[in-house]
Amino acid sequence: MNKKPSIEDRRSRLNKLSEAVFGGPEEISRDEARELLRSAGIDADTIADAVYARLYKQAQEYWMAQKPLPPLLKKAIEDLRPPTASPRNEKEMATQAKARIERVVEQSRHPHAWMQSTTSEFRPSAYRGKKKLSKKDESALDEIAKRLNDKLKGPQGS
Amino acid sequence: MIVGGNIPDFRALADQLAAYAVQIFAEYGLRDPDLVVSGTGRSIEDFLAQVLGDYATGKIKHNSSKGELISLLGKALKRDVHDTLVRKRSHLREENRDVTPAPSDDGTGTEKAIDGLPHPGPSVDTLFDEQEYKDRVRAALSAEPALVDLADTAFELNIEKRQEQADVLGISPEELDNRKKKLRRRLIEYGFAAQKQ
Repeated sequence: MNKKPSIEDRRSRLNKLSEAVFGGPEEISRDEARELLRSAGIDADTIADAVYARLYKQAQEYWMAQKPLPPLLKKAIEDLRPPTASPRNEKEMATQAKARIERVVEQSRHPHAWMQSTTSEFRPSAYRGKKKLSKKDESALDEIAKRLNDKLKGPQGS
Repeated sequence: MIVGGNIPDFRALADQLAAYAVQIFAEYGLRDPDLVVSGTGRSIEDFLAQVLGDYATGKIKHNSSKGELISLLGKALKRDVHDTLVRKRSHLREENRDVTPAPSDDGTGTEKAIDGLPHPGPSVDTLFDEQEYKDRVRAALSAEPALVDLADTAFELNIEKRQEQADVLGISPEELDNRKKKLRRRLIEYGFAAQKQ
């Protein structure tokens, strides 16, 4: 009677098959990776932000214990730092300001695409010609301000 | 200061490993809408943060003479997903032993949870079954026979090397790479389109 292979044996066999059919992660370029994530309905930036938050938490443990941060952890936090995080120094502030200006210039080149990508609350046309904001507009703006504030209170830089 | 080897770009690693994790989830038919291994609460983000954190804090060490960093981290990530699935199985069996009278295998391919109801998703024995694995992959590629042929070079002929696979299929190694790229995409689209339904 044939003995059923152990889980370990089956795992190793499936790993071999997977490698032969799909290849390893080294065969997935960064561009392809982003495309694959998109096709699964996943935003690469959202995942990276979540990983940043976890690694930042790990770094905090070193800071609290007054231990030096491992160089690779420091590099990981720098690389994964979301562009929306508060600047830690003048250089970062300049980089973020430059990125922001570039975004505004890009938006001004393609205003139609920008209008479509913003929520209705953000569309300037919602308020155009009105002397006073309605209660609905006011509460929508309050909600947006609250969301932005919450975002800013998220993981901070070192 | 980072000593030895190339300095890694963690953002690129995160993107590549996230895509690889999604591929692993699709290979094993893990279709939780929140990208979580059901019954364990561990998500793709958890696996990714674990492997990158272990590398960044020195728990995983890379020796460049033994291959690329991304390969090492990819293997660690896959091992973690597999271990989580095995732990999930042990946990469910423990619960079953405590509460319900031996419902281990009723032939339905599903595990039973503490309340005796089928646990959502296939059992871990099913997930690690070779024939089931091949069937899952073939189902994902069924619309494109050329991709099924590629998978069958490994499944049926046990050919693992790139050049040999290309020779058997009568195509260049570059064309083989293109087909593998397409194959990864089809697998993920199939897995995650089914999840959204």
